[in-house]
Amino acid sequence: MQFRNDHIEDLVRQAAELNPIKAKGADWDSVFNKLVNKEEASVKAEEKSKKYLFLLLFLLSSLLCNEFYYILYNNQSKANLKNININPPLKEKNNIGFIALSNNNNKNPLVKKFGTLKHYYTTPVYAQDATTTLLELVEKNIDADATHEKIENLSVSDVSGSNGNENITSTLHEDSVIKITDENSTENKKTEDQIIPVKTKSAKEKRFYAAFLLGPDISTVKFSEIKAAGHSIGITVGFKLTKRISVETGAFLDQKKYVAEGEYFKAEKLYLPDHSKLLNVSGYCNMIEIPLNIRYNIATNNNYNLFALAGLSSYLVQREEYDYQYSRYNNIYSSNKSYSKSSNELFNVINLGAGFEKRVGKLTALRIEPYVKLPVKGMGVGDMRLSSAGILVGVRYPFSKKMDQ
Amino acid sequence: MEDLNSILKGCIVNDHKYQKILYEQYYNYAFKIAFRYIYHYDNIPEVVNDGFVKIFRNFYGYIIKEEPINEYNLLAWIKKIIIHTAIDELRKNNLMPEIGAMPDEAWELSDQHGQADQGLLYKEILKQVKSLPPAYRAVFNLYVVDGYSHKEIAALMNISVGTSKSNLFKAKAHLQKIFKKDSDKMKYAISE
Repeated sequence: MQFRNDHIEDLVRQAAELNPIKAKGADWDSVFNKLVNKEEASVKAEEKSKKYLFLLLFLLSSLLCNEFYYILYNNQSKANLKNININPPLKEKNNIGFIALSNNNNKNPLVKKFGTLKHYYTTPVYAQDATTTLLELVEKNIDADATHEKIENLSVSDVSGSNGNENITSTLHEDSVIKITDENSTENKKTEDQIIPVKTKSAKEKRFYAAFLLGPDISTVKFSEIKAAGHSIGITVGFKLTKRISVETGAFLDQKKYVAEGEYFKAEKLYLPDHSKLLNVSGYCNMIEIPLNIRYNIATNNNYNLFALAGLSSYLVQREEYDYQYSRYNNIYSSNKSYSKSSNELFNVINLGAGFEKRVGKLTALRIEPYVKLPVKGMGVGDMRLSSAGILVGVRYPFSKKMDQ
Repeated sequence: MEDLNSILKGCIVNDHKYQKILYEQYYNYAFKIAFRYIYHYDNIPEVVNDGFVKIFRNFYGYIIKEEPINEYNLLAWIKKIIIHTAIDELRKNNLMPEIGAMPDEAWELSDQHGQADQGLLYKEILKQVKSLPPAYRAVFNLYVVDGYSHKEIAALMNISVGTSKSNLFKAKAHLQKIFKKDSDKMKYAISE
């Protein structure tokens, strides 16, 4: 018997149809367990993502509360300082203190240089005991000037002197002196209850700064299901236009993971067979992000910055990889495809963010920046409108030219 | 006994009772499909079970139609999912050649005269097809038995259309050679 190709094919088809094999190993329990486990796993993953979201919100709200508390605290301290200026009856002035703080003013014998203060204060302080008054000031942690410079380093041991007409000299820093003296002094009379702003030698601050930032990134297409967290890591460089406004740009390596319903993914580049309908897509995308943001410092002092930023981002898509399912004649197929350097998207995402910086060294600051990215147009081979949210954490460091404040 | 429509509706809403009925009814069918692709008899149940898990997890998208189209559609869908699961399994093992013999008790041969000969013939044919290298066997089964096009095979197996055609050609040549050898042996036996 000579077998032709067609003959072989027919025989194999018949054999496959009337396959005389015994089926074994039917085990509904194992299928059931797998189904239940997968359902539980998906529920757990959902709960986990909710927990992370809650944690993120909690962190964000904590940061904001902390910042507002700090601002309120400063205002309260200023109010306390004003209260101290109210003169009590002179009869009770057994010992009268007078604090004179200035910057680089050595001409007045009662007033000496005090650190880097930018304003000149002559504030009479009346109390039973000048030392007590000073301690009260120390305890209340009074602000010394409008730029929120604090007298934080004072301690009881720093304060020395005596009552009566003698001057009490208290050393704060190597070059800082606080003098407390009798109210009858002529110099004091001249300056009593006066707060004289002084144009001091301009303090300088570096104008360029850089920050290394990294953090998780959660992406979603049309706010549908969230797959898993991606990440974002990179460097941002900023330039201070004014004390409050800066321009920031940089480069970030982003990996975004997402799932999308078929209707939100343009399937032309998947090259599906005719009469196919894309059901869903799950994948990730590696990109270089180049943001261009304007930053505004809402509240700022030497230790803290609370800021908001807004701008646009461009994306250079490096790699996209997708697993997808599609239906054709009521059958479901699954497949996957990957693409390299598929597209460059210029200014197609809006950045909105708020952040918080805390000074941790002489120049460096810790930066925490939650953000939201909203699409202006589609991205990648699927032309998806990808929204993202996340939180960047990192370190900021000033590195170039100085600016006058 | 539940009718197919009720079973399908039950499966769409993820009712485990109906899922079990469907599993029991179509297990044999799925097993025979997976058997063509998976070499080791003992590994087939796991592939079939994985296939059914996929089926039940994706049942929400199933569109119920009128009889008898309903059952044809269901059979075609089960077939596709089982084939995909089997191909995934082969790819997981990098399409490595497998060794080992099929246990004799795995075959269900009829004792009736005529049907027994046919059963033996089919058994031999299936054994020969299974003896092909995994890549050839998969392409041969997909094209000849399951009616896939070369483009679809290429997409499914992540190979080029040319490779698919080449594998099919080599699989056919291999089988023809084996069958020719068998028929020569038969002729020799008759002449003696």
